[in-house]
Amino acid sequence: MIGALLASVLILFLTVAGELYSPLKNLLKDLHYHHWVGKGIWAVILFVVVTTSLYMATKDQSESLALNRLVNWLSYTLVFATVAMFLFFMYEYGAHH
Amino acid sequence: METLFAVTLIAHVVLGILGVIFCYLVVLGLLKKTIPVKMLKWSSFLAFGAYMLSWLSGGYYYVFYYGSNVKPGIKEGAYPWAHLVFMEAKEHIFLMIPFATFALWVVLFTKGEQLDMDPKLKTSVVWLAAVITILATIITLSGIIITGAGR
Repeated sequence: MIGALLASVLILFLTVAGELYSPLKNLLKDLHYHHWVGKGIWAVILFVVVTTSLYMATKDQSESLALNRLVNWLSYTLVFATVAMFLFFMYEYGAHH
Repeated sequence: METLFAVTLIAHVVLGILGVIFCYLVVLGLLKKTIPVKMLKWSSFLAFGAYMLSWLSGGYYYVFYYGSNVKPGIKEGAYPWAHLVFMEAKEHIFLMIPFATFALWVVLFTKGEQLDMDPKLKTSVVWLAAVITILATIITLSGIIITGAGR
């Protein structure tokens, strides 16, 4: 759950930051052929690392974190990231066209 | 358009719609009085698989065909916002869907039998499944807009 949440945050960050700071977007393109591929790869890496680490850290605990709260936070993050991305690209379009 | 790109585009659309359908089935299943746990586990797993395959096929089409063959026409045409707003948003929102759907599947796989007795968790999972369904639907509709602008 936390892995999915952080991966979504990373995607939002790389998307907005990449548009505002072109060296970041170019770096992703240089490393991974296409900036969009790079975002996906780094999101997968973060997801795997976080999920694996948390699983190893909490596997012996009977109830780790309040799962319903984590699920809610994932839903909030998805909605926030979606709205943020649409608003950002609408703003960018309006500002440059 | 080469056959391979046509096939990957069609696969992307069909698999994406299948993902939406399976996610919607999860929502419906969770709203039943008695939760059909086995159905939910399968539906969420199939939703994840469909979104992953849609991601890969759409990604191939996007990276190797769309950028040089479709995007310029849309940006120079009557509806540049179809790419500059909808495609830009869609391609990045879509990146989040497989992770969220995987998380949904894991929750249903590990906690599915307990949902009937844990109304808080059940409500949260319903909302997550609904959010994923709505986002995937928005992405599908965005794809229709982009396709229309590209014609």
